[in-house]
Amino acid sequence: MYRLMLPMALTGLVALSGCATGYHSASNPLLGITGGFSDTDGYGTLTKVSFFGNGYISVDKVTEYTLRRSAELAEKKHKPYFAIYKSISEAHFNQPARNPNYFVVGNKPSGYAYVQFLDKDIPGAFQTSETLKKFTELPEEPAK
Amino acid sequence: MKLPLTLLSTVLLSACAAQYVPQPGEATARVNIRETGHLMICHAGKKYSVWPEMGSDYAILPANVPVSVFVNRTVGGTVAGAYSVTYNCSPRLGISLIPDSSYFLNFEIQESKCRLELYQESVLSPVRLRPIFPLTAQNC
Repeated sequence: MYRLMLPMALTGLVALSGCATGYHSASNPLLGITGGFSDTDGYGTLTKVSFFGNGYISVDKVTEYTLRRSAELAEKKHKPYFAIYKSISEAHFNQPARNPNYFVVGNKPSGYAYVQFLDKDIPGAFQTSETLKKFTELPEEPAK
Repeated sequence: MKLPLTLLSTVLLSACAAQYVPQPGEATARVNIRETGHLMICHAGKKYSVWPEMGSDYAILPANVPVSVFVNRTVGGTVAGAYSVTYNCSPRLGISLIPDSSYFLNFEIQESKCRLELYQESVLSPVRLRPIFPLTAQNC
Protein backbone atom coordinates (compact mmCIF):
# COMPACT_ATOMS: atom_id res chain seq x y z
CA MET A 1 0.00 0.00 0.00
CA TYR A 2 2.77 2.42 1.00
CA ARG A 3 4.61 1.60 -2.23
CA LEU A 4 1.72 3.08 -4.20
CA MET A 5 1.40 6.23 -2.13
CA LEU A 6 4.35 8.14 -3.61
CA PRO A 7 3.41 7.59 -7.29
CA MET A 8 -0.22 8.39 -6.45
CA ALA A 9 0.72 11.54 -4.60
CA LEU A 10 3.00 12.68 -7.42
CA THR A 11 0.32 11.90 -9.99
CA GLY A 12 -2.20 13.91 -8.01
CA LEU A 13 0.27 16.76 -7.68
CA VAL A 14 0.91 16.89 -11.41
CA ALA A 15 -2.80 16.65 -12.21
CA LEU A 16 -3.82 19.30 -9.72
CA SER A 17 -1.05 21.76 -10.42
CA GLY A 18 -2.43 22.49 -13.90
CA CYS A 19 0.95 22.31 -15.61
CA ALA A 20 1.13 22.48 -19.37
CA THR A 21 2.95 19.52 -20.92
CA GLY A 22 6.66 20.26 -20.94
CA TYR A 23 9.26 19.18 -23.46
CA HIS A 24 9.96 15.58 -22.49
CA SER A 25 9.40 12.05 -23.72
CA ALA A 26 5.88 10.64 -23.48
CA SER A 27 7.45 7.47 -22.09
CA ASN A 28 8.93 9.37 -19.14
CA PRO A 29 7.61 7.38 -16.14
CA LEU A 30 6.55 10.47 -14.18
CA LEU A 31 6.17 13.44 -16.55
CA GLY A 32 4.83 11.24 -19.37
CA ILE A 33 1.49 11.26 -17.59
CA THR A 34 0.95 14.74 -19.07
CA GLY A 35 2.00 13.65 -22.56
CA GLY A 36 5.23 14.45 -24.41
CA PHE A 37 7.04 13.46 -27.58
CA SER A 38 7.16 10.08 -29.24
CA ASP A 39 8.93 8.94 -32.40
CA THR A 40 8.31 5.86 -34.55
CA ASP A 41 10.37 4.66 -37.51
CA GLY A 42 9.19 2.41 -40.28
CA TYR A 43 6.85 4.54 -42.38
CA GLY A 44 8.90 3.69 -45.45
CA THR A 45 11.97 5.87 -45.07
CA LEU A 46 10.07 8.30 -42.83
CA THR A 47 9.92 8.71 -39.08
CA LYS A 48 6.67 9.82 -37.45
CA VAL A 49 7.31 12.39 -34.75
CA SER A 50 4.40 13.15 -32.43
CA PHE A 51 3.81 15.40 -29.46
CA PHE A 52 0.86 14.70 -27.16
CA GLY A 53 -0.29 17.65 -25.05
CA ASN A 54 -2.64 17.98 -22.11
CA GLY A 55 -5.46 20.49 -21.66
CA TYR A 56 -3.10 23.27 -20.58
CA ILE A 57 -0.84 23.53 -23.63
CA SER A 58 -1.56 25.52 -26.77
CA VAL A 59 -1.67 24.12 -30.31
CA ASP A 60 1.21 26.45 -31.24
CA LYS A 61 3.40 25.02 -28.52
CA VAL A 62 2.52 21.45 -29.47
CA THR A 63 3.50 22.03 -33.12
CA GLU A 64 6.64 23.87 -32.01
CA TYR A 65 7.67 20.92 -29.80
CA THR A 66 7.01 18.49 -32.67
CA LEU A 67 9.36 20.49 -34.88
CA ARG A 68 11.93 20.75 -32.11
CA ARG A 69 11.92 16.99 -31.58
CA SER A 70 12.31 16.48 -35.34
CA ALA A 71 15.40 18.71 -35.30
CA GLU A 72 16.83 16.85 -32.29
CA LEU A 73 16.44 13.51 -34.06
CA ALA A 74 18.10 14.95 -37.19
CA GLU A 75 21.05 16.03 -35.06
CA LYS A 76 21.27 12.58 -33.44
CA LYS A 77 21.36 11.00 -36.90
CA HIS A 78 24.01 13.54 -38.02
CA LYS A 79 21.73 14.88 -40.73
CA PRO A 80 22.22 18.61 -41.45
CA TYR A 81 18.74 18.97 -42.97
CA PHE A 82 15.30 17.51 -42.51
CA ALA A 83 11.93 17.91 -44.21
CA ILE A 84 8.55 17.49 -42.55
CA TYR A 85 5.39 16.30 -44.28
CA LYS A 86 1.78 16.34 -43.17
CA SER A 87 1.11 12.90 -44.63
CA ILE A 88 2.97 10.01 -46.23
CA SER A 89 1.29 10.94 -49.53
CA GLU A 90 2.74 14.45 -49.39
CA ALA A 91 6.14 12.93 -48.69
CA HIS A 92 5.77 10.64 -51.73
CA PHE A 93 4.99 13.69 -53.89
CA ASN A 94 7.73 15.70 -52.14
CA GLN A 95 5.51 18.47 -50.82
CA PRO A 96 7.25 19.55 -47.61
CA ALA A 97 5.30 21.49 -44.97
CA ARG A 98 6.42 24.41 -42.82
CA ASN A 99 4.35 23.32 -39.82
CA PRO A 100 3.45 19.91 -38.37
CA ASN A 101 -0.10 18.58 -38.36
CA TYR A 102 -2.20 18.90 -35.27
CA PHE A 103 -5.50 17.64 -33.94
CA VAL A 104 -7.45 18.26 -30.75
CA VAL A 105 -9.27 15.47 -28.91
CA GLY A 106 -11.03 16.28 -25.64
CA ASN A 107 -9.42 19.73 -25.49
CA LYS A 108 -5.97 18.12 -25.65
CA PRO A 109 -3.92 19.11 -28.69
CA SER A 110 -1.47 16.75 -30.35
CA GLY A 111 0.97 17.42 -33.14
CA TYR A 112 2.67 15.09 -35.58
CA ALA A 113 4.77 15.10 -38.71
CA TYR A 114 6.39 12.57 -41.00
CA VAL A 115 10.06 13.45 -41.09
CA GLN A 116 12.68 12.72 -43.73
CA PHE A 117 16.25 13.23 -42.56
CA LEU A 118 18.48 14.62 -45.29
CA ASP A 119 22.18 14.94 -46.11
CA LYS A 120 21.53 17.75 -48.60
CA ASP A 121 19.24 20.74 -48.67
CA ILE A 122 16.04 20.56 -50.72
CA PRO A 123 13.40 23.28 -51.23
CA GLY A 124 11.25 23.51 -48.12
CA ALA A 125 13.67 21.64 -45.84
CA PHE A 126 14.76 22.86 -42.41
CA GLN A 127 18.39 23.33 -41.44
CA THR A 128 18.95 21.20 -38.35
CA SER A 129 21.35 23.46 -36.43
CA GLU A 130 19.36 26.65 -37.06
CA THR A 131 16.08 25.03 -36.05
CA LEU A 132 17.55 23.67 -32.85
CA LYS A 133 19.08 27.02 -32.00
CA LYS A 134 15.76 28.79 -32.56
CA PHE A 135 13.77 26.47 -30.31
CA THR A 136 16.22 26.02 -27.49
CA GLU A 137 16.38 29.79 -27.08
CA LEU A 138 12.60 30.14 -26.69
CA PRO A 139 11.17 30.35 -23.16
CA GLU A 140 8.81 27.67 -21.79
CA GLU A 141 5.12 28.47 -22.12
CA PRO A 142 3.47 29.56 -18.87
CA ALA A 143 0.45 27.54 -17.71
CA LYS A 144 -2.94 28.83 -18.93
CA MET B 1 -8.65 0.27 -17.67
CA LYS B 2 -8.54 1.40 -21.28
CA LEU B 3 -6.70 -1.69 -22.54
CA PRO B 4 -9.15 -4.24 -21.09
CA LEU B 5 -12.07 -2.22 -22.49
CA THR B 6 -10.47 -2.04 -25.92
CA LEU B 7 -9.73 -5.77 -25.84
CA LEU B 8 -13.28 -6.51 -24.71
CA SER B 9 -14.80 -4.41 -27.50
CA THR B 10 -12.45 -6.04 -30.03
CA VAL B 11 -13.46 -9.50 -28.85
CA LEU B 12 -17.15 -8.59 -28.90
CA LEU B 13 -16.94 -7.03 -32.34
CA SER B 14 -15.01 -9.94 -33.80
CA ALA B 15 -17.12 -12.61 -32.12
CA CYS B 16 -19.56 -12.83 -35.00
CA ALA B 17 -16.96 -12.89 -37.75
CA ALA B 18 -14.87 -15.84 -38.85
CA GLN B 19 -11.17 -15.34 -39.26
CA TYR B 20 -10.16 -14.82 -42.89
CA VAL B 21 -8.29 -17.86 -44.23
CA PRO B 22 -7.37 -17.77 -47.93
CA GLN B 23 -8.73 -20.60 -50.06
CA PRO B 24 -6.19 -22.75 -51.95
CA GLY B 25 -5.19 -20.90 -55.11
CA GLU B 26 -6.84 -17.64 -54.00
CA ALA B 27 -4.90 -14.49 -54.90
CA THR B 28 -3.62 -12.69 -51.80
CA ALA B 29 -1.39 -9.80 -50.75
CA ARG B 30 0.45 -8.91 -47.55
CA VAL B 31 -0.62 -5.83 -45.61
CA ASN B 32 1.33 -4.31 -42.73
CA ILE B 33 -1.32 -3.58 -40.09
CA ARG B 34 0.89 -2.51 -37.19
CA GLU B 35 -0.90 0.88 -37.09
CA THR B 36 -4.35 -0.63 -36.86
CA GLY B 37 -3.85 -4.01 -35.21
CA HIS B 38 -6.89 -6.25 -35.55
CA LEU B 39 -9.23 -5.32 -38.37
CA MET B 40 -12.41 -6.52 -40.04
CA ILE B 41 -12.87 -6.98 -43.75
CA CYS B 42 -15.91 -7.31 -45.94
CA HIS B 43 -15.08 -9.83 -48.66
CA ALA B 44 -17.54 -11.45 -51.08
CA GLY B 45 -20.46 -10.25 -48.98
CA LYS B 46 -19.18 -11.74 -45.70
CA LYS B 47 -17.51 -10.16 -42.71
CA TYR B 48 -14.15 -11.60 -41.63
CA SER B 49 -11.78 -10.90 -38.79
CA VAL B 50 -8.11 -10.34 -39.69
CA TRP B 51 -5.12 -10.58 -37.36
CA PRO B 52 -1.44 -10.18 -38.12
CA GLU B 53 0.58 -13.35 -38.72
CA MET B 54 2.37 -14.69 -35.67
CA GLY B 55 5.47 -12.61 -34.89
CA SER B 56 4.80 -10.23 -37.76
CA ASP B 57 3.08 -6.92 -38.50
CA TYR B 58 1.69 -8.34 -41.73
CA ALA B 59 -1.69 -9.89 -42.41
CA ILE B 60 -2.84 -11.77 -45.49
CA LEU B 61 -5.75 -10.18 -47.35
CA PRO B 62 -7.56 -11.21 -50.54
CA ALA B 63 -6.23 -9.65 -53.75
CA ASN B 64 -7.68 -8.96 -57.20
CA VAL B 65 -11.12 -8.26 -55.69
CA PRO B 66 -12.67 -5.22 -54.00
CA VAL B 67 -12.48 -5.53 -50.21
CA SER B 68 -13.68 -3.16 -47.50
CA VAL B 69 -11.51 -2.72 -44.42
CA PHE B 70 -12.95 -1.61 -41.05
CA VAL B 71 -11.10 -0.64 -37.89
CA ASN B 72 -12.35 0.20 -34.44
CA ARG B 73 -9.95 2.47 -32.57
CA THR B 74 -9.89 4.38 -29.31
CA VAL B 75 -8.20 7.77 -29.61
CA GLY B 76 -7.43 10.66 -27.32
CA GLY B 77 -5.78 11.19 -24.00
CA THR B 78 -2.10 10.91 -23.33
CA VAL B 79 0.33 8.14 -24.11
CA ALA B 80 0.49 7.29 -20.44
CA GLY B 81 -3.28 6.90 -20.53
CA ALA B 82 -4.03 8.83 -17.37
CA TYR B 83 -6.96 11.15 -16.69
CA SER B 84 -7.73 11.11 -20.38
CA VAL B 85 -10.91 11.60 -22.36
CA THR B 86 -11.08 8.98 -25.10
CA TYR B 87 -13.24 8.57 -28.15
CA ASN B 88 -14.00 5.67 -30.41
CA CYS B 89 -13.85 5.94 -34.15
CA SER B 90 -14.44 3.39 -36.88
CA PRO B 91 -12.90 4.43 -40.18
CA ARG B 92 -13.37 2.25 -43.27
CA LEU B 93 -11.64 1.98 -46.59
CA GLY B 94 -12.33 0.27 -49.92
CA ILE B 95 -9.28 -1.41 -51.45
CA SER B 96 -8.28 -3.75 -54.27
CA LEU B 97 -4.85 -5.29 -53.84
CA ILE B 98 -2.39 -6.53 -56.45
CA PRO B 99 -1.57 -10.22 -55.85
CA ASP B 100 1.72 -10.99 -54.12
CA SER B 101 2.35 -7.29 -53.37
CA SER B 102 3.04 -5.72 -49.98
CA TYR B 103 1.16 -2.80 -48.52
CA PHE B 104 1.10 -0.55 -45.46
CA LEU B 105 -2.24 0.37 -43.88
CA ASN B 106 -1.94 3.67 -42.04
CA PHE B 107 -4.29 5.08 -39.41
CA GLU B 108 -4.42 8.86 -39.30
CA ILE B 109 -6.25 11.64 -37.52
CA GLN B 110 -6.60 14.72 -39.68
CA GLU B 111 -8.87 17.67 -38.96
CA SER B 112 -10.22 15.73 -35.96
CA LYS B 113 -11.39 12.83 -38.15
CA CYS B 114 -10.01 9.29 -38.20
CA ARG B 115 -9.16 7.76 -41.53
CA LEU B 116 -7.34 4.85 -43.10
CA GLU B 117 -4.78 5.20 -45.87
CA LEU B 118 -3.29 2.45 -47.99
CA TYR B 119 0.23 2.55 -49.42
CA GLN B 120 1.97 0.02 -51.61
CA GLU B 121 5.53 -0.76 -50.57
CA SER B 122 7.54 0.25 -53.61
CA VAL B 123 11.18 1.07 -54.30
CA LEU B 124 9.91 3.42 -57.02
CA SER B 125 8.56 5.79 -54.37
CA PRO B 126 11.11 8.21 -52.86
CA VAL B 127 9.81 7.24 -49.41
CA ARG B 128 9.24 3.54 -50.35
CA LEU B 129 5.45 3.93 -49.90
CA ARG B 130 3.25 4.72 -52.87
CA PRO B 131 -0.24 6.07 -52.08
CA ILE B 132 -3.14 3.97 -53.37
CA PHE B 133 -6.36 5.68 -54.41
CA PRO B 134 -9.21 4.27 -52.28
CA LEU B 135 -12.36 2.62 -53.58
CA THR B 136 -15.82 3.12 -52.10
CA ALA B 137 -16.14 0.95 -48.97
CA GLN B 138 -19.06 -1.51 -49.09
CA ASN B 139 -21.07 -2.82 -46.16
CA CYS B 140 -21.57 -6.54 -45.58
